[in-house]
Amino acid sequence: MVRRFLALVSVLALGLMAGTRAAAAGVEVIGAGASFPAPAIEAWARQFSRETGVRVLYRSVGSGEGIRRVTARSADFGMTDVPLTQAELVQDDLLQFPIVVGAIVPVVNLPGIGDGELRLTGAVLADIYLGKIIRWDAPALKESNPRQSLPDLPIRVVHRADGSGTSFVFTYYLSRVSSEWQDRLGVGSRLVWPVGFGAKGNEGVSQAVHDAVGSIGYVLNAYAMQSKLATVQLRNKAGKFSRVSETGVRAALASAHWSRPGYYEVLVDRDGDDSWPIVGVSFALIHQRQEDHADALATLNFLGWIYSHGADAAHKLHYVSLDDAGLIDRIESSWGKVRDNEGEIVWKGRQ
Amino acid sequence: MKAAAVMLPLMASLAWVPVHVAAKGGSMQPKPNKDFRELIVKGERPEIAACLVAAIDYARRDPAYGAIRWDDDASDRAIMQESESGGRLTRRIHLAAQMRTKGSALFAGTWRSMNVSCEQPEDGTVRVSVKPVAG
Repeated sequence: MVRRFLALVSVLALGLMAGTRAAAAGVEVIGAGASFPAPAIEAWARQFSRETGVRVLYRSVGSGEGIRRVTARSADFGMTDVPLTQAELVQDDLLQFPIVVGAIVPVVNLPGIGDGELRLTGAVLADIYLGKIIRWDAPALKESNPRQSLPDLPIRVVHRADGSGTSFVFTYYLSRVSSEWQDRLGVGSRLVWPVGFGAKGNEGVSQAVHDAVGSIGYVLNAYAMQSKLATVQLRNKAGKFSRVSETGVRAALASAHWSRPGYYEVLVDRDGDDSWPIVGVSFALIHQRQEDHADALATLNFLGWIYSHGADAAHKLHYVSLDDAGLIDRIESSWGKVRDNEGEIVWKGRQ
Repeated sequence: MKAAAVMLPLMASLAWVPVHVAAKGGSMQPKPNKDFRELIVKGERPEIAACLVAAIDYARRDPAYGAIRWDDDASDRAIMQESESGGRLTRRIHLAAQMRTKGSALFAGTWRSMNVSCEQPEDGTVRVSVKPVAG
């Protein structure tokens, strides 16, 4: 009897799954935004599509454009490394929550200097981007690198030309470590940079640094590794020079409270001996009021799937996924605010 | 004048768009704001967009002024600072703009250069203050 009942349940479950898959086949989730999480999202999208039949398309167009597209409702979800504050979120009934975390690293192209060999303090990095230190053999650089033979070369500064969450986090860090940077330029996804050459996307900055000897730029670690660029050691808030590592990112992540509206956090210059000082968080943005129930549900299913199944792919691509079960429960609970045009709640928990 | 050309669409929108953001510390209504959407869709820096919306609203409500505009590089030159005290974040934004004084039936108002500052605590309110540029 029990066996017959189980068999019946199995048949029904298979039928339901097949039905869900068939129904899902016509649904397409469109995301757009930050280039920072793009490699991870593209990997997750492929795996999610294989498992569910739902196609996910992600356009790596920068955080500013991601916010623009979700606001204009030309994307189902946006990704941004420029976290929006409550003042911004309420303007457009947006929900914001973190998806993935990764290190932002200064990268250099210097003859004779390998990966992780050059040491920089935050103040020196700010002075380079302020145009106050213009040569690689400057005394301030020699002071932190007494054993390195620093080249007699001008510094070629590379920054982002587009609206960029990576720039937002990088300049947030420079503002924390340099009062001159804070007073003159502040924090910005887009700025009038005092010096340097602008390149588009993490891809563009990686390429620009790769192509020109004497360059310095800042990119997500995944791009640095992909392009085989030399990363630098940074002195953290505890006063220790550290190389970029998953341990360092996790140490910074451990300091996050996620208690502000929209889970607003900028993980720079955090406490902890091992803490990597520039860590970016990629946030998803969705509208609370959705026009298409099926698209909205597929979007939330994809984002929920990332929390439950995305860790391995994230790790392979040098990101750190969120694994705080309490945080993920809070985030998924907040999805109860997402309603369709009829006022029906879209997300009713993981199926 | 460059600024005028840049700001014509925005100024046009000022006349017709309903106000949802309270400047000077009022509470914010949870309605989608057209000014915000327009600024974001035009590619405005998201981190200063709430300040710009509040500044537009301030100009509409201020008895001495009727409109606000800024040059196309003003937002890139805007300085945003964020500080934390007692676990609470406050964002401050400083921006150069021009505000038009209210005119009479015969004469349009004149544009004056202003320094606009926004203070934005993490509860979501935006306080705007404006100061004429000396000279």
